[in-house]
Amino acid sequence: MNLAILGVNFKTAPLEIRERASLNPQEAGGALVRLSSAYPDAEFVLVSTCNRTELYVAGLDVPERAMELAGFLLKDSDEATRAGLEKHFYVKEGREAARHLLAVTASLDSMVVGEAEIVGQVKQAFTLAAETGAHSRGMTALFEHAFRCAKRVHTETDICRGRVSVSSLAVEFAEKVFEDLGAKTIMIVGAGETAELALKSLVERGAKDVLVLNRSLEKGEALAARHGGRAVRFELLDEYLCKADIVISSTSAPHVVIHAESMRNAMRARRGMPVLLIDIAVPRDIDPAAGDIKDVYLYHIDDLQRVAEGNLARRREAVDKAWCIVEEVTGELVDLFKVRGVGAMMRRLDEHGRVVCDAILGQYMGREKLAGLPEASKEEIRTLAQKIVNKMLAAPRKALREAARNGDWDSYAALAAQLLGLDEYGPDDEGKPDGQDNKTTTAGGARAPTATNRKE
Amino acid sequence: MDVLLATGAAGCYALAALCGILGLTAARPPAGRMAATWMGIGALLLCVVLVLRGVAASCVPVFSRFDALACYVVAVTVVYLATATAGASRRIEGLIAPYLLLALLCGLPAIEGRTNAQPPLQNGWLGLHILLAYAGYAFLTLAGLMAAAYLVQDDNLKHKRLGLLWERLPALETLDHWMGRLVGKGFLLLTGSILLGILLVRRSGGDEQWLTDPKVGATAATWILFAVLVHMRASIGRHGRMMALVTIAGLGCLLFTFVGVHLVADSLHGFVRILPGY
Repeated sequence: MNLAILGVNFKTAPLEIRERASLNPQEAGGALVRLSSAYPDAEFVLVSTCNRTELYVAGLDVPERAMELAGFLLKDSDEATRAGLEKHFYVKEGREAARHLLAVTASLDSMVVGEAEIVGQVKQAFTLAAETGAHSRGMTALFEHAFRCAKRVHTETDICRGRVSVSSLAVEFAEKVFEDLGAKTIMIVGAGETAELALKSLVERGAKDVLVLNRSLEKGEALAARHGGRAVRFELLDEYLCKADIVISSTSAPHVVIHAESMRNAMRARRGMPVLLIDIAVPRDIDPAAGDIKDVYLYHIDDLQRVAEGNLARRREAVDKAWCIVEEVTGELVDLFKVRGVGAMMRRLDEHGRVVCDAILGQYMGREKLAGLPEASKEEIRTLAQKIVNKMLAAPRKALREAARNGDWDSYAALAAQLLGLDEYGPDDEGKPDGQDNKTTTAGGARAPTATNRKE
Repeated sequence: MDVLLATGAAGCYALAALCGILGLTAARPPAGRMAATWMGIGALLLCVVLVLRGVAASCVPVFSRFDALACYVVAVTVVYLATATAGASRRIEGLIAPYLLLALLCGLPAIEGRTNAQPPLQNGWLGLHILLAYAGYAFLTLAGLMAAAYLVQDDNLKHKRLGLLWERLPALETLDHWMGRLVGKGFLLLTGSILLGILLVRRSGGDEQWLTDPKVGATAATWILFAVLVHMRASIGRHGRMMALVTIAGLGCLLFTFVGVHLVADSLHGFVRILPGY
């Protein structure tokens, strides 16, 4: 399979460039439809997230058409603008492209290594491409290997273990105390950015009841409005403390805001229902003695950062092992497509032999001397002709199989195609569904010579 | 034959215990359902043993020490697998399987013994009384083990021990929720068993001797403790560490009622009374 990637990511382009190439599912679907119309013989899958937009292409010479293809990915751009953006795009081909896909899906190429969202995003992109008819069996095998590789990386290494941001750790702690965040009340005291991020993560996980207490009621109301909550006057803190299951505190007060005594009173009212307190402020907002109260679990910013650093270190240690898995699966993919390529080439040889045989026989059977022969004799002549052709092709077939075993497939396949006059981009059995024309692919990665062969 | 099968069952529970403990502590835990599978196989083997012993003795096999403990282990296993299937966390197999293994090992040395119920009591109501008792014990035992898991997780969270055990044990609220449900059901079943026991005694006409039976007294104490627990949860709405501690105290009472009372006193419920010929 002649696979290539054209893409832009957080390593090669700043946010303002990535924004112009960031496509929502509708836009991505539209781009895929336009790409399939423009290049009906090629296959496409388009992955677009906040950190990357990558177009996976099979059956097309991507380096030669890079900027043309980029035009399908960029919003509102003209040729001059696209030329200026060229340096931010990268092209990967062949084995390197396959390896990159596996690494991306396994979250090894992510901004936060080990983040779990990318697998879902790649799956969605793959499904969208299938729905728009932009890809077929070739890409299916490739992406299935990518998903299997990601699963192996996630289960066999520690790359996904533990969360690494303070806000997501707040969620992790909350999920270890409470079963269902949707039924819990979150209280946010103060309006710090980290506290709001933690609140956002909790709301994304299903928390619905949000109370915001801030010295400035206006700021509190603004924050509450952003997260579907309600603002409460700061002076009512003690009164509302018993209602909160999770308290995130991040004020700029130089003194303690939530005292142990207030917490004790709140816990009497709560009758043993646990409370999670997360104190992100420096100096601390919550009296450390509150953490000694039964059923109260108090974490401050140092605790969260210590856990985050430990998790990040574990993930980094796991990266080497993860790359080993990626290399292993890349090798499997290359072998798989090589085998398919060998199969496809053998079928083309057979087809070529049949076509030649039928052409010659058709020409001579109609002649006077042979037309009068009995049907049995004609059949014998046909069998004889086919056997001669098979015998002649036996040696090239054997040589090609040897070449595939010895790793010389690409050059042998190209030579064989040239010598025998095979159509290198002839039909194979990986055509698009729904009766569309069979797309052209090359056998086992052998490609027509190209002027450029740009690799990262 | 029953010795062989019972030993096999103990082996299965040992494997379940190993899988359960590794599931909580190993970096690469065994596949999710291995502990439950081994527990299930062990319970099946125990059922076969009990059936064989029942056929051989021509009585329901619950009256000897081995039979009683085997029935207990099977009951707890069945209730656990049912709750695990219904969605409760499977991660406390690391606590349940070792506990059941210990119970079974306590019963194995007594496998040769046989007893039977007193003739006036041998009827269908007795069977129901015993069935409800074991079902109640099973639910309350599981509640006690969930409470133990609650205390472990509470300790992890309190002292910020955020390692594998913290990661793998369920959320406190999940454990509390299941504790409450199991205590409620177990209490109802135990109450039903006690009421049937009273009915049986009345019908057999032996009120006085049963009233002074140590096991009856222990059962009453256990029932009262769980009644208080149910009241605190249902009427007052108490949760948390205190409830977990009371539930574990309840399990302690239950174990004393089930087994301990026979070690310190003679009881009409006793399975230490060996019938002649066995």
